[in-house]
Amino acid sequence: MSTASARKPGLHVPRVVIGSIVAVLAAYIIESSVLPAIGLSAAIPVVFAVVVVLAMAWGPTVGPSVGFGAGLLIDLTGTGTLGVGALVGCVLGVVAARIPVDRWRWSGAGWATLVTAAAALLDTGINAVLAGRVPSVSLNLLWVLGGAALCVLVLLPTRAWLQEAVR
Amino acid sequence: MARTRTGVLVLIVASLALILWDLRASDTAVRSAVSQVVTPLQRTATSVFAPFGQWARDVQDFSDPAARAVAAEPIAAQAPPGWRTATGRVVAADIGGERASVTVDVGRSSGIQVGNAVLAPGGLVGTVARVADDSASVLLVTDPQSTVGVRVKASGEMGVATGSGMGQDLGLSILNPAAEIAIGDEVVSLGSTQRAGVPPDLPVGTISGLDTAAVDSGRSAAATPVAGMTTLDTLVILTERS
Repeated sequence: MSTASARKPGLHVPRVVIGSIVAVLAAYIIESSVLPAIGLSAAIPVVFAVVVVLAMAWGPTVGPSVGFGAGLLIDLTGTGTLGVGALVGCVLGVVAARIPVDRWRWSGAGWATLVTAAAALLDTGINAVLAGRVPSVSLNLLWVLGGAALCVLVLLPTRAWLQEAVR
Repeated sequence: MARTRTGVLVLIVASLALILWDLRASDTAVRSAVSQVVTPLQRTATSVFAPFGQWARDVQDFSDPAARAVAAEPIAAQAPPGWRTATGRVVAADIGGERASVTVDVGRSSGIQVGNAVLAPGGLVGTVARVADDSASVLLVTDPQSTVGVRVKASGEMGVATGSGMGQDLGLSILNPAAEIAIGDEVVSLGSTQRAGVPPDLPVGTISGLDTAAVDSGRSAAATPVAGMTTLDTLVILTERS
């Protein structure tokens, strides 16, 4: 029996690296500049939603790395403590890669929305605690939850295409 | 699978190390380098998409210094005499959860320094928290990390205004428990003598609520900020007193 035929097809690493950088950077620009420019809240967690979809498409090896990088970008450009976003993003990548999915294009959307919103709130909460404040719930919660759901619904159908693109 | 677990463990340890490092000594060089890469992209994105949103005013011509000066004129008029100013445009916002800060497209090369006061139509909206060559991060007065020394203009009572999060009024702690303050009183900055700090008497907000129970340590109140923080566009930064 050939062992090669039983092996799962591997990921094309350069494509994964380039694809991740482009996707995360585009998501960051959309979240920090495009959404406020068109009158929407920058609290919509576009970057974390992209991490979730990439982790669901490319698996548990890629997910935490993409999450770490995306979180680090948020840390370096925001006012929070360096490393908090990276930690949250890394854990998000681990969790998202384990969301059970089937062939339906929006399969796993509920869990994906939940973990995206949870990551955004966790990032804010940990930063608040480290700054010596008590985290509070504000109107932004609606933007976070609704925005996470919208991002996931838009991005999740690209999962199959993303898987094909890096084979 | 074991390799994946090791990789995750390394990333988590690296994250925790970064947190500890940043809590001990915040690094500005790396953040500044990242800002130099990201800010031009944000500026381009804002210019392209602003015509579709609330920031459409004058955006097409905003790269033109004359248009920039026209947009800044009514804001710069609030600056105390003798202060040099720089005009910036909001190119990014970080208002997730409780956070409230924006990035402007001018920085060190325009004379901006950490601690500079930032004005919008109406008065003071924040202070510069971090600065790169061509961009600066502005901590808005509504951010819970922000504290501004203030004075109630009518009575002269001193206090501190603390941010309570985006969309929330500022929390005021007035030092005198017997202070006579009323809803509608204007709150202005206490100011400092620093050459590049927040000057006195800049409008900060208007008292919108009073805590009826005065305590020994002072009196609590709420104040509505002078400007809507979600619609900030052109900002004027007071760089230095000449």
